[in-house]
Amino acid sequence: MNLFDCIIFSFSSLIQHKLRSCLTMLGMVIGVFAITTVLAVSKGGKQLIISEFLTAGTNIVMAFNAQMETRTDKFACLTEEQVMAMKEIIPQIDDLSPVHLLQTLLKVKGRMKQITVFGGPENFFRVRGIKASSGRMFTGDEVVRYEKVCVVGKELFYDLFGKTKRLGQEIKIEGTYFRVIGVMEHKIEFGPININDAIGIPSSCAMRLLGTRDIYAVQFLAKEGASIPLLKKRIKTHLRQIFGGKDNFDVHSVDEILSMLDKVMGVISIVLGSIAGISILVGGIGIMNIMLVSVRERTREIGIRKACGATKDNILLQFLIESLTLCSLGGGLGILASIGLVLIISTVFKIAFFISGIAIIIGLGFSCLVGIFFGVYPAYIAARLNPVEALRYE
Amino acid sequence: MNHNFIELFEIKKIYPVGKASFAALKGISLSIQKGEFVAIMGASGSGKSTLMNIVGCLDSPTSGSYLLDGEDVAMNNDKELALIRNKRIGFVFQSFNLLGKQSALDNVLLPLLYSGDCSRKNRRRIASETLKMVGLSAKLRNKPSEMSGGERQRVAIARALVNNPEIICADEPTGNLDSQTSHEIMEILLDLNKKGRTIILVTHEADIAAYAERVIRMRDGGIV
Ligand SMILES: Nc1ncnc2c1ncn2[C@@H]1O[C@H](COP(=O)(O)OP(=O)(O)OP(=O)(O)O)[C@@H](O)[C@H]1O
Ligand SMILES: [Mg+2]
Repeated sequence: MNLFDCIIFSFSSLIQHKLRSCLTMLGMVIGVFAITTVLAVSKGGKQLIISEFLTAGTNIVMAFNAQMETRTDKFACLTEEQVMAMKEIIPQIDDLSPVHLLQTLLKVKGRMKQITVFGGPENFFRVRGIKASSGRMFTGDEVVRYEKVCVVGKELFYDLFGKTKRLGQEIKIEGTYFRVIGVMEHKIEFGPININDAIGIPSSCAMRLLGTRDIYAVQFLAKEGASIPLLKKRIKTHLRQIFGGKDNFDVHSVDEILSMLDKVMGVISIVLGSIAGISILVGGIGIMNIMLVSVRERTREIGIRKACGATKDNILLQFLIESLTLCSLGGGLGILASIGLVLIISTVFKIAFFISGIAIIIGLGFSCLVGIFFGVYPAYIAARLNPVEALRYE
Repeated sequence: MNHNFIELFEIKKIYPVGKASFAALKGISLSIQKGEFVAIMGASGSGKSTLMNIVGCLDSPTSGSYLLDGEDVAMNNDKELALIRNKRIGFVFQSFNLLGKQSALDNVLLPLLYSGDCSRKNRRRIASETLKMVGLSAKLRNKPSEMSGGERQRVAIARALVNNPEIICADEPTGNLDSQTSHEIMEILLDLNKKGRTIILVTHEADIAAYAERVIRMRDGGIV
């Protein structure tokens, strides 16, 4: 009896018990559906978040003084000269720009709210990779001429002016009116400023408002192909030298957030995956249960087969293939259901979720393993039945 | 030929019953020639079926030796016994023992499947020819539940025959049939015997046993 005959046999006996086969398979369908969907969604979600972070730029490094109270400390800030010199000293730096930060109270949607205002030179936008979603960013000329212009983050702009989206309005910052000339495109939050909720003004104006030229934050653009960890290390050691051995500035890059995120998402998908895995296991136990009932119910059939010359191996294989068929068919249906759901999710939410080949292999492989694992015992029971007793069974 | 085709010597079958044991066969010695038609008779519980199952290699004796065509098969393992059941012995039972959910043809195909030495197409041809031989060419697709008792027993005979075995073991094949049908079935077996097959028949009825050349009578696990 070859394998093909065995498979045909198993199929026909499963078809003979349609309802029972379907119900048994259901456990497997749900388990595999859960595991592939979890894998797809967690992977898709991860990619979504990563791609979001990639828009922040992976080649940007930020150095900033995170402690407000050290502002009185001489060693806790940089001078313009010290900042500009870094560009010459550290070869991995393509460009850099100091960032001046101040907070101001603005009436947003009828409530007073503290808003971050940053001042930067005109290359701030190039270093940070910010483009105008409407209007324009300020120019070097405007910086030099203390021009009272500002750019606003997209979210804040909507909150302030609603959907009218008209540029040219004025915003009062610390007693001075600034004219809105542009809206900054959406950016993921990184470092001390949330671009989406901030206002940018020329560095000259910011320094005048702050009453100091001290620099508490610098952002760096790494050269193409330069190692970010190396750049960070060099910036750190350089700043430590300046601050007399103290780490007064935090140095961060987007990729470290990414790697942390990667770890968190990994843990989440492992946890969810294990829960889904347990449901496959439960499905497997259901299959074992049904196979044991089936063996008992078909004792006479087993006797007849043995009388016709079936060996133990023939019987073992027959029942093993039956449970394997139940499991893999259930697994396949689960994957199909999962593909369907993921397609619906991605079209409804316009997110590119997809089921990877790995997820399919894991789903199918796991269900086949469960099929073999939980099928062996019932099949063994069937195979070792004594033919005479099996024939006498009523 | 210098040996008996079937040679049993001091065959015992002892069943454990709780802590005690029960000897269903108490040392049976018996020989049957090739091509013989033997009937086994005896009271219920005398051990006829037990003996038949051992001769048919469905069961192994507790002790004793069984030479089939000169070869000792008493202590054969499962695989070897399965091969003998498949190729050399055909079984016919009182309760037909057909697979209820499969057609006559599929039932007859069963031994061919397990012997596995001819192609799918050939198997179907052989099976339907065998069914034709027992007069069932019109009922290939019928399930057992769609056939009369006599027809079911013919399917069972076709199944026993399909691998062309040397021995047919029939345990009360007419036990569930009326006398008219019983004689039809016996005619088929007689015909098979004439074609050279060794037939061993268990029966309670004298007129059925009359088809055999030799009658063996049993009582309490022994031959009288
Ligand atoms: N598995 C078993 N365990 C214990 N005793 C058994 C077992 N199988 C058979 N026996 C006993 O062995 C004896 C012989 O049984 P067997 O089936 O061979 O009788 P039989 O001659 O075929 O009877 P019948 O004409 O009713 O078919 C009986 O007394 C039966 O109770
Ligand atoms: Mg009997």
